[in-house]
Amino acid sequence: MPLSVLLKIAKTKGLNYSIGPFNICLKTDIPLFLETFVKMYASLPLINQACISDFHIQIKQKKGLRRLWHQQAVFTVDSSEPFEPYPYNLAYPLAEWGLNWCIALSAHQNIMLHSAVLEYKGLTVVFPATSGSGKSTLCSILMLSGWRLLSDEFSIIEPNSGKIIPIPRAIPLKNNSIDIIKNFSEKAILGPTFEGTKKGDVAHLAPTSESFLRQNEWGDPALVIFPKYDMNIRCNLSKEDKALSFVSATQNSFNYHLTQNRGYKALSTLIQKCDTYNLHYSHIDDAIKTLNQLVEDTVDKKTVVI
Amino acid sequence: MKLLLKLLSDPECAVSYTVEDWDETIRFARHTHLLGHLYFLMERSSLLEKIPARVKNIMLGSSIYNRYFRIQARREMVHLAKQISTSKIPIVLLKGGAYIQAQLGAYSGRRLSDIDLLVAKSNLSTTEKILLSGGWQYGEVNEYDQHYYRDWMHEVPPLIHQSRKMEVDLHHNIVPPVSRIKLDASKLLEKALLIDNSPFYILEAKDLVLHSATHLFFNDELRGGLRDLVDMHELCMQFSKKENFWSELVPRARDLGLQRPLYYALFHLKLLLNTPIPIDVLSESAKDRPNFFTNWLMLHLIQGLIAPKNVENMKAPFAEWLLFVRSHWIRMPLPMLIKHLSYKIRYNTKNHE
Repeated sequence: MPLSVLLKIAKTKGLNYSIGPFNICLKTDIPLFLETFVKMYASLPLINQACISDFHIQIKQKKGLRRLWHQQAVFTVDSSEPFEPYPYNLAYPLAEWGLNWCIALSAHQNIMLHSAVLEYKGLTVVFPATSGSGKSTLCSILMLSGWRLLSDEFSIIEPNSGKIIPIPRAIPLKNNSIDIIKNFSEKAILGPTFEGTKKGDVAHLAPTSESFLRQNEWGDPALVIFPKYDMNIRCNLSKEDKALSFVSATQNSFNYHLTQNRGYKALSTLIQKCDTYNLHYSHIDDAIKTLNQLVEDTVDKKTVVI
Repeated sequence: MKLLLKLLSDPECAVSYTVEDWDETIRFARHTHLLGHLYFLMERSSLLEKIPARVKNIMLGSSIYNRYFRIQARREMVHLAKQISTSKIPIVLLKGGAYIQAQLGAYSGRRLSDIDLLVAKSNLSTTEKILLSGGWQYGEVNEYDQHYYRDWMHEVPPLIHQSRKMEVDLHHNIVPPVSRIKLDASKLLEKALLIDNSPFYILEAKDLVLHSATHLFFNDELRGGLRDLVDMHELCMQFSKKENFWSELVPRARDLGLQRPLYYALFHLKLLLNTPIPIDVLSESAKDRPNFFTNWLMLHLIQGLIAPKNVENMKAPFAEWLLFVRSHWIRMPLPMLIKHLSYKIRYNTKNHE
């Protein structure tokens, strides 16, 4: 669909799409934002019939006389404006961040982790991490090497089944990572670089089309790996104690305390059924090699058991 | 908004809602903080399996969130009970805390962010000392705030426990002593009842409704909104079986000087939630309405705020501002109001810079 037609829909009744378990209705009047959005979510089908939206989101130009000399973008969800207006050209990061905020604050029917989740050879791997641990870079390279992306920083556990609900979103890359990913693969689809945000330069990497097409296939987690980037260390993988892993997982969760026994049950089940590891690395190539090997070994082990 | 109101007054109609109906209902319910309450209603009427799974999930998320705050509140009340146990001072729980402790109305879908207590003015400073010695502390209050609360308001500055962070508001009345309504709080305390298996008291049935009405309609910008009205709806449904509840409600309101907020409450309960209020109670209460113009304006403003019609624009900033002015007008005599607002303006500008 040409951009002008999309913009017309986006201005009036809004674009309806599902991302993972959520239906979103998105309205916008900012062409530049829509262009980036379409680039990031090209393989995501629009919903054409009537649907129930989890969130009605608007990302619009701020009204008022001031826009004649100073344009700003405003994020609205269900008539409330939770953030101050952003500079106009940062509308895209604002929308991504805004949607994170909506989900983190309301989707407590699930247990949410600040983790990347990817799948390789049918094995789902959870990478809980704090920001700055190199998780987004690692996650991007794994995805571009053929792993399926379930989530980059926002993973969702369905507490009754213990499975991970995919929610493929554009991956925000920061500073040096942008060039690392650009140089790593020609297949990388990157959005514009937003300079001088609170986190420095940010550019978004589009999930692979496989990640979108299979977004309704839930993952059954088998490995939990805590990655840590450290430039002074040789790549090493070590088993992590289960009790410590459990504590780390609770600290990694957005809503563990809020969900009480549901959260406890979900995270203790996750840690009990998964093998848990620490991965320290300085060169990303070594990390990838180690992870591929680990997944293959685990798959072999599982086949023997069966 | 009609769809949400219909669902609140008759949950059974959920089975006939279309996809479009739900989409709109959820938006209004989120805006009015009623998603968790809807989950409770659906559960109570065994309808959870008859509504779309997505709708159920959205409501469940909010219900879990609210439950967490109720657990926090319960825990805070256990600590409060322990702290006051030796003092023998009768302490009345107000609003959410009371509904939870006495399991009243729709307590189990409700969210609450603070615990409100009421004591006799003569017991205020003792109670305050007891709480301060138990680890509760004032939040961020400056000298002016202290003066504002102590001399003009019906509560001491908010108390927050240093390790649990839950706010406790200690009141000696339900309206400010300087306000246009003069309310003798001892009349409320006289009738208060001890809650079963609890050291706390609760206001008598009629006073519970009257307090909720006063809280909603005398508050700045009607902050509690539709959620407060739903509280009253559930309370009325529960109390309507009680002997003399309806027949004594208006006389009690007049006795306390709260007939005006009761009028607004009953009018909107009937109009918006179709609460089964006896006709003679409605017509008796209608005698307490203000003059024609004020009445027309107030009903207009109130509905614009608590039951907005446009799902794309649920805010009503002008109505909010007018009601804000009104609430201050009721609460303070003019010279005090000028002093207070000029301080607030200076303070806000200073902090903004």
